[in-house]
Amino acid sequence: MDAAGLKALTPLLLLALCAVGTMLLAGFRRNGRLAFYSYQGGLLLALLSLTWALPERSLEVTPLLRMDAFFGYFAVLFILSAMAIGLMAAGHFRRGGGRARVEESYVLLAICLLGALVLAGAQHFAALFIGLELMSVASFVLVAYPCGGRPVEDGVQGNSLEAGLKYLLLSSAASAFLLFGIGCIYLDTGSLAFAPLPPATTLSLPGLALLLIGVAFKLALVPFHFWSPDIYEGAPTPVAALVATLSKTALFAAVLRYVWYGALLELPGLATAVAVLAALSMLIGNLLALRQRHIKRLLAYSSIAHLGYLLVVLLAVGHAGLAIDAAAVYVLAYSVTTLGAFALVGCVCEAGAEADYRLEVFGGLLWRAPCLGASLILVLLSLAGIPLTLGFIGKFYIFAAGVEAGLWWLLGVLVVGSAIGLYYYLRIVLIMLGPAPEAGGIGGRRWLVYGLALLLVLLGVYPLPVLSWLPVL
Amino acid sequence: MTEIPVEHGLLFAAALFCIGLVGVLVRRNLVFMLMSLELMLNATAFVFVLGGALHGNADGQVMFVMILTLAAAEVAVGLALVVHLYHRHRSLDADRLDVMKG
Repeated sequence: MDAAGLKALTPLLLLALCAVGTMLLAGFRRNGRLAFYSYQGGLLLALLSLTWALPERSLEVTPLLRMDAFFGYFAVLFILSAMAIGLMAAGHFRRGGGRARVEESYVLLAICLLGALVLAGAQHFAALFIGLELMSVASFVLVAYPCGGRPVEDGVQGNSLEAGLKYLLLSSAASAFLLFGIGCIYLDTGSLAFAPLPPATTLSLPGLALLLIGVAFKLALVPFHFWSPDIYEGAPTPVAALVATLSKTALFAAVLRYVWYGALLELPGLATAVAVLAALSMLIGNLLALRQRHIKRLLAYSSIAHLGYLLVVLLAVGHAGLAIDAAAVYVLAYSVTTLGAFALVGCVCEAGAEADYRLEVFGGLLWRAPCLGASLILVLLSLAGIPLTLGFIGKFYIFAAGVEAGLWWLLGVLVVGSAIGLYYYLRIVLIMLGPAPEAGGIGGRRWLVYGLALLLVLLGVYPLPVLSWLPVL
Repeated sequence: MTEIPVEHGLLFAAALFCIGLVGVLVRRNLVFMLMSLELMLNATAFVFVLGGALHGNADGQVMFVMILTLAAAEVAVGLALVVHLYHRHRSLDADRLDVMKG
C-alpha cells in the first residue's frame, strides 16, 4: 500500500481511532457527555476528511477495498446516519437517569459505522466478511445494551436481553450460511475477489444460493424475516434505527457492488430467486404490517417491504444504466425517512415513565404538538412514496430503472405493495387526528425530527443537489 | 501419501454444517445452541482450508484465521448474554425467550 492508498483510507483510520479513543476516554473518566462529544467529533472529522481523502479516480487500496464515487456517496450517507443515531442515543439513554452507563454505546456505534464503511468499499469477500461482522457483533451488544447495568425487574431490560440473544443466534447462523457460500465459490474459482464466475462451474451455483440465503437473513427478506420484528421491539429505539438503516443499507451496498462486478444476474436461476424474494418481501411485508398495533413492529414490517423494493433495483443492474443511481437515491430516501420515523417514536412513545409503543399513543398528536404531527405526516407520506417527499423521488427512480430493465411483473407487485402500504400509513394519520390518550406526553429530541422532516421535503421538492452528486459509474 | 479427493472434504464439511444447523434448530439449551453455532462456523472454516490447499494460495488460510476470530468474538458476546439470562431466570432454556409475539 502506497501513500495514495493510505490517504484514501484516512476516514476509516479516523473512525477506528475514534472508537479506541472514546473507549480510552471512558476508561479514564466516565462521563456520558464527554463520550458523546468524542464520538460526534470523530465522526465529523472523518466526514471532513472524506472531502480531502477521496481520490479523483477510482483507486484500489489493497485488493480488499476500492475507493471510488460509490464509496464516497455511501460513506457520507452512513456517517450522517450514524451521527443522527448518536443524537437519538444521547436522548434515549439519558432517560434512564444518571445511573445508566452510556459511554460504551458510542464506542459500539463507531465500530458499527466502521464496518459499514468497509462494506461500502468492499470488492473482495474478505472485506465483505470483516465489514459485516464488525457491524453484526457490535450490534448484538447494542441491542442488549439496556441490560448491561444492575439487573432490574422491568420490561425494557428483559425484552432487550431476549432480542439480543435472538439476534445473536440467528445472525450468526446467517453468517455461517453466507460463509459456507463464499467457501464454495472460493473452492470453485480459487479467488475471493468480486469477479464474474468462470463459465464451467459446479460448486458456484450452490455457493451463490447459500450466499443468497445468508444475505436474505441479514436483510430480513421474506421468508427469512421472522426475527426482525422481535429485534425492533426489544432493542432500544436508536439501536432499532441502526439495525433498520445502517446494517441493512451497508450490506445492500456491498451486495450491489458484487452483483455489478460479478455480472451475476446473467445467471438465470439467480435472477429468478432474487425476483421471488423481492415479490414476497413487498407483498408479505406490507400485508403483515396491516394488522400491527405496535409502532416498532409496524416499522419492522414496513422496512421488510422497502428492502423488497430495493431488490428490484438489484435485478435491474446490468440491464438499466440507471440502476446504481436508483439504488443510491432509494437508500438515501429510506435512511432519512426511517431515521425520522424512529426519532419520532423516541419523542412520542418514550415520553412517559413507561415506554408505550401502541399506535394509540399517537392519538391527537396533530393538536397536542402540531409541528411533530406535521413531521409525522411527512415521514409517513415519504414512506408511502407520495410526491413532494424524498420517498417519491426514490420510488420514481426504482420505477424508471425497472421500466428500463423490463421487469414488468415485479413493477406490478411493487404497485400493489405500495397501495397496501398506503393503507396502514394513512391509518396512523387517522389515529393522529383522533382523540388523545389520557396520559400522553412529548419529550426527547424534537429538533432532530424537525431537521429530518425538513430534509425530506427539501430534497423531495428540489432533489438536484443529490442527483447531481450521484456516483457516476 | 495418496491425495484425499476434494469431494470427500466437502462432504465432511457439509455434514458438519448440517449437524450444527440441526443443533441450533432443535436444542433448547442456550449453551448447546452456541456450541452448535461454533460447529457451523468451523465447518465453513474447513471449506476455506480445503480451497486453500486445492488452489495453493494463502487466501483460504487467512479466512480461516478470521473465521476463528469471529467465532471467538461471537461466543464472548453470547456467553455474556447467557450469564445475564441465567442470573435473571436461573435457567438456560431458550424457550424462556418468548415474551415478544405478534
